[in-house]
Parts: sequence; structure tokens; C-alpha cells
Amino acid sequence: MNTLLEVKDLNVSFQGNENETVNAVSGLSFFIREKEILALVGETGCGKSAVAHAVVRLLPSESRVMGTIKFGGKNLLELSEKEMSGLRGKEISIIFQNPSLALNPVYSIEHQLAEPLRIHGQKMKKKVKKTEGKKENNALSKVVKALESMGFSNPHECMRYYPSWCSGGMNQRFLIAASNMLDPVLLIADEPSKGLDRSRVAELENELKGLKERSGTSMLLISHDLSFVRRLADRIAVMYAGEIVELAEPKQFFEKPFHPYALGLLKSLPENGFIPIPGSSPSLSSLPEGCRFHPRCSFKEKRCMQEHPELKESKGRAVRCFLWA
Amino acid sequence: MGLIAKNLARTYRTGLWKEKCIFRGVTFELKSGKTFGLMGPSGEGKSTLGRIVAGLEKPTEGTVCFNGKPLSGMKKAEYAAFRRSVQMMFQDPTEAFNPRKRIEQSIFEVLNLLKTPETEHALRTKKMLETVGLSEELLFRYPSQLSGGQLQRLALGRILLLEPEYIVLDEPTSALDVSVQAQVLHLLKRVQAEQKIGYLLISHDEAVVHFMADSYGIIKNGQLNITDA
Amino acid sequence: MMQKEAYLQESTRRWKDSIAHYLNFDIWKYERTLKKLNREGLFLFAFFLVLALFPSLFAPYSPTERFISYESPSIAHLLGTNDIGNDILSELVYGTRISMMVGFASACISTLIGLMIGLCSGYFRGTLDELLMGFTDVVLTIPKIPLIIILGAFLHPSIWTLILVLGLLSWESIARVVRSKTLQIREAGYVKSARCMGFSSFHIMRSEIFPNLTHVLLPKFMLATASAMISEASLSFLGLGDISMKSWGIMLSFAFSRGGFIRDMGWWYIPPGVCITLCVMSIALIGFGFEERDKERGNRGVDAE
Repeated sequence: MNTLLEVKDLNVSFQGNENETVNAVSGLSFFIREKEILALVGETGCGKSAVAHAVVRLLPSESRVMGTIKFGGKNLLELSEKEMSGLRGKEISIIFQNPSLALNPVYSIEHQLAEPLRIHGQKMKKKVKKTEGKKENNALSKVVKALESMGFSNPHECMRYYPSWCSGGMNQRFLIAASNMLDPVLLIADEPSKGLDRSRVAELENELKGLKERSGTSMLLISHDLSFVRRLADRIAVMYAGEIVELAEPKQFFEKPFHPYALGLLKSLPENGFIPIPGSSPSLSSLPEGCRFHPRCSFKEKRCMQEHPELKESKGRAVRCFLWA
Repeated sequence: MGLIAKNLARTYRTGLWKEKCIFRGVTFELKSGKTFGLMGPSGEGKSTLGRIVAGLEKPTEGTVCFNGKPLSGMKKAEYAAFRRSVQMMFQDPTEAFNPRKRIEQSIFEVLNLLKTPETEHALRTKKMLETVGLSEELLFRYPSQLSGGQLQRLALGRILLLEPEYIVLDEPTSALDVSVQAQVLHLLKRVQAEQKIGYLLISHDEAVVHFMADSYGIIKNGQLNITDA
Repeated sequence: MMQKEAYLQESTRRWKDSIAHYLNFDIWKYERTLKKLNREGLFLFAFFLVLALFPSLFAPYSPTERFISYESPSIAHLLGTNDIGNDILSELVYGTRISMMVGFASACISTLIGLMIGLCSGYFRGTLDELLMGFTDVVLTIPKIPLIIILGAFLHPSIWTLILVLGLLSWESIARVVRSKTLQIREAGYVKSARCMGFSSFHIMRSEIFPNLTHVLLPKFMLATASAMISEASLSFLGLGDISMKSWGIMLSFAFSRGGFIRDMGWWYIPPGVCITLCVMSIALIGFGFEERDKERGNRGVDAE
């Protein structure tokens, strides 16, 4: 399968509140194949959102981004703002956290779903003309279709809703429908499951899965929730303190995680009895020397405190640890 | 004795004559040293129930009894004792402390409220930080400079200064990462074992409730069904 | 032919690009100048403040000292003299204190009242809120300048009544802003837990809510000062000021009524006007600067999550 998005040596840093340099992302490399879901898993403050924002170039202007992000043969970091906004929403679309905030409360669902069509230059016609033989190319029918594909049985009614009338789950589905209006090839979902109930998370999981099967969209799924990612992702990348520490397929990963941090994460899951990792994540402005996980690691050796391990790859999985060198 | 919720009901006025009932006939008891879990889907009024038990809101019907006395109609001194003994911990740790004050100031204010002499402030703060497992340098920072886990522990520590008998935990870990959630849950268990505090744990996460609770209730369609774990 | 079309398309694209680029650049420049203006506002304000605090250092003569009247600018009298022979430059320097005092004092009064009412109605809500906000609405409907003119006619025109009246009539917008901010803050976790721990309402309002209000209060205070100074100037110009305390507005009024305009003595009526404009502008700029800083702080999203 072809590679769709390739990120190489991505570095993101910015000035913190007290003029210290925050290295949000350092030396990050990964790729996403076509029709593949890559999950970027990590805890708060590990720089995973910065990756998502770097890919769509929505980082604040004062942050420094280095490296290459290749998408369809182009380096996204070198495109002009105009070219980039042509890509956003059309080929790469984004779902942000908190569905009720991402939809504008003063516009109807129809208006918001048709927005990407309008921006990217397709005309909107008011009524569905069911002329046979003609392509149903107008926006309204597309909106209807998108809603139907998201599992709404009464799309014509739903279109007239306003975000405040609907539950969080419904808004989430509207949001996914909106991000999928132009059949993007890559969908970036930044913490889509945050703040949702368990049942809603399961719903979201099915929707994203269905989306991938129907339209073959690749996804970069950014989440802190391992159990959410488990059934959805084709590959899982675990981030710690701004770098990827382990990359593996979910089956292998959940059977036997290699990196001590990944092991600790799995152990602290509810089904494994909430066994915590001691200590807390380092701040991104003052990273420890050597392996970034060593202060909390129970397998650490002398070497871990001095040398910084590289990401070693073998048989489709990669790990950044001396134990597995 | 203990903290007893009797026949609580809460209704909202949606129009001039319309009323919407969130829950009705809710009865349960919090015992010291035990955890009562409260589960249910969002929008079923779990948090409202928690705030009523903590005395921050008034129920439409029913009473909350603390040590055999109903909350409404308590004398001032009794209410002050209740206010000290029943505390509440909130979901969002980033909001738990005033962003304009250093942590130290927020904590010393609580000690001032307790009329602790100033000479003992440093000592008590140190003791508290030891209990929740944090280092002293955090005191001189602002809340925005701390992580969610650290803030949630500090919030618990600040509550513990008041030596409460009951704590209402409103989704204490749902804003935290998995590994931090595990840390905070273990801390809560340890504190309960040491100080014999009764918890009312409100959570939508079954696993958390099963891990923590001695008995739990599910609130659904305005009714509470209690099960012993 | 094809080549030509392609060339045309390409050239229009380039034009658009360059225009967009130019505009973009322009926007940046505009923002930067605004920031610079903000700093200049601060300098200007500091200058006026020094003038107001130590007028004797800058004024060449005492404002009551008399010379030959209606004199043109000369080295002895840089801005000439007025109808009764006072040095206009000295008058101008001494007027700074009065104009600024009226502005700040009435802004203090209005901010204080607005803060109290907004805080109480936002924090206690319920009936008190309804009452206070109803009262605010009533005050809001009172036409201010006409009322002040009537009051000025009936009361003894003194600077203190002016300050009081201006202060007592311009707190509504501050009260509204403070109330809405308080409503928002009282739902924050730290206020709820403070209530839970049994802190008194007064302590919560003073120590938990008030520090989080300062960043909305400061720009409001600055803008209230500026508008009070303008009101004072216009009222004084209408002849409702205190003649014994010569502010810039009264200087303008005298220049108008005692022959400054007729004799075309630009050095009499232009400087106080310019001073009022500059001083109000500097204060407003500082106020905008505060607001801008607040916005920037709010926009600083995307942290290292």
C-alpha cells in the first residue's frame, strides 16, 4: 500500500509563559498508509496535539516547526497559506475536541455541513431535484447523503436542527459528517473521545470504523484513551515527552508491550487493576538527560541515565529502549 | 448516624407551569470509612445530587440528615460543623485553584479559616503534602504551571486540612489520564483507610466505581437502584 | 493563443498573490503601529501625570499672576496672555491637574459603585440580582448630560458636585460587565470549593472573585476616566464648570466667551483643545492596550498537549 502522509524529524518548539523553550515535539517520524488508521496515544502534555496542529499548520505563529511533512508528494510545511487552506477541509479534514464547541450555535446543521462545499467552490441549490439521469451533484443532496451515512434516519429533519437542540453524541456525528463532506483522504481526529460517556465512545468508535470502510479514509487518531483506540487502530504509536517510544500493531501491543512506559500504561487501565506508574511526566521545558522515561522506569540501568536511546525498528514494530536493542 | 439522604427529589421549572423532574425518591446512606458509588448516564442529575448532599444546593423535596439532624433548620454552629465535615471535590482540576494566587496562598487561606496559628502553617502544609505525595516546591507555583494530576492531589490535600468526615467526589478522575487516574484512585483509597472518611463517588465509569465502591447505586430515569458490591 | 491565456492567468494569480501579500504585510504593520501607539500612550500619559503633579516646575508663572492682556505669543509668554492678562501656558499647565482629577475621581466613584453592584448581583443572584439590575436599567435610561445641566443650574457649580454627578451616573456599563464576569467565575471550581469549605461570602468575593476581575476592570476604569474628562470639558464649555478651578474645558469656554475666537487668537483656544484630545487619547490607548493584552492571553491556546 502507498504511503499517504509521511512525517520526518518533526520538531515543534515554542516560547513558554516564562520565556523557557518548550520542546513540544522532538524528532518525530511516522507515516500513514492509505486506508489506515494510525493512533497517536499519549498523556496530557506529551505533545500529541502539537503534532496534529503541525500537520494542518494551525500552530500559533510564534512556534518553530522543523522537519518535513509529506502529503501527496508535497511538503506541507513549505506550502503557502493559500495552498494550505485549499487542502484543509478538502483533502485533510480535522475533528477537534468537544463537539458542542466546534459547531457554531447560530447556524443550522445544514448550513454548517454545506459550508465546506461552499468554501471549496461548489454551488448550493436550495431544493433537491430528483431528475433521473442527472447526477445529484448539488450540495443539498450531498448533505442528505452525508447525514444518512452517519446513521440518521430522518436527514431532512435533522438538517434544520441547531447544535444546541441536539445531544453531544448527535453533534459529534454532525461534526464527523461535516468533516467528511468533501471525501477527504486524511482525517485528523484530535481527542474525539474526550468528555464523552462510555456508550457514546462506543458509538463514535463504530462511526469512525464505518467511515473508514465506506470511503477508505485514512485517519490520524490522537487520543489518551487506550481502550478506545484498541479496536479502531491499525497501528498504535505511543508518545512520551515529545517523542514516539513504541510503535506496533494493536494485537501485538496489547499482548506484549515492549517499552516500560507502554507496559505501565496498560497496567493502569481499569481492566488490569489501576496499577499506577510512579512519578509524573516531565515538563516539556526541562526534559531529563538520557532516556526521557528513566526517572520513572523500574528497569533502568546506568546507561539509561546517560544515553538517549534511538527508535529501533524490527518486524513492523519499533521501540525506543535499550532493553530491546 | 452518618450522612443520610432521605427521599430527595429535584425538579426544574422549564416554563411558567411546566416542571421537569430530574430524580425523585432518592434515598441512600453514607457510612464513614465506606464508599458509595453513584453511576448513571450523563444528564441524569448525578452532579446535582452530589451538590445537594454537600449542601451547596437545596432539594425540591426530601432532606439530607447529618448526624441525625436535617440540614434545613440547623443552627448556625451546627451548620458550620456540617460545612467543615462534608466536602466536595470537583471534576476539573485546572479550575480547583484560583489562577491568580500561588498554591501556597490558597492553602494558607484555608489554614487561616481553621484559625491555625501562623507558626504552624508551614508544618501543617508540609504534612499535608507528604500525605498526598507531592514536593514542597509546588507551593510557590501558580495553578497553570501544574499538571492535572498534581492539582487534583492538591485539591484533595486542601480538603483533608479541614479533616472532613465525608467527601463528595464528583467525577474526580474523568479529566485525568489513565496512569494519573490510577495514582489518584490509589491515593483516595489510602486516605480513606487512614482517616476513615466516607466517600460519595460520582462517576460514569463503571470500572472506577467497581474498583472503589463498597456499594453502589445506578440512577436511571430519575430512580436510584442500589446494589451491594 | 494557449500560451497567452496561460500567461494571463498566471499574471492575474501573481497580482492577487502580491496584493494579498501586500495586504497581509499591511495588517502586520498596522498591528505593530497599534502596539507602538499603546506604548506612546503610556509615555504621553506619564507626561501629563507629571504636569499634573508638579505644575510649578513647568509653568513659567503663577496662573493668577497678571500681565498685559491679549498679548500674542512671545518669548516671555510662549502662548500669549488672556483677557485679564494671565499667562496662558501657565494656565494650561495648572489646568492639567484639575482636568485629570475630575476624570480620575469620577472614574473611581463609578468603578467602585459598578464593582459593588455587579459583584453583589452576580454572586448572590436571585431577588437581589433582579433588584440591582432593574435599578441599573433605570439609571441607564437617564439622559446624563441634560441631567447634569439641570443639576448644574440648580446646585452651586463646584468641581466636587461635577465629580459626584459624573461618577454617580456612569457606573452601569461597569456593573453589567462585572456582573456577567462574576456569574461566570462563581461557577468555577475554586469558588465552589471555597463555598464548600465554609469561607464567608465576603471573603469569596474579595479574595477569589475580585482578583479575576481586575483585567476587565482596568480597561473599563481607563475608558471611564477618558469619558469623564470629555464630559467635564464639554460641561465646562457650556459654562457649567467651576470658574474658581480653571480646567482645560473652562479655558476653552473663556476663550470663546471673552474674545479668543473673535480676535483669532489660536494660541488661546487651540492648546487646551489639543491637550484634552491628547490626554483622553493616551488614557484610551492604555485602556485598549489592557484589553488587547487580555485578549492575547485568552488566545494563547494550543499548549503542549
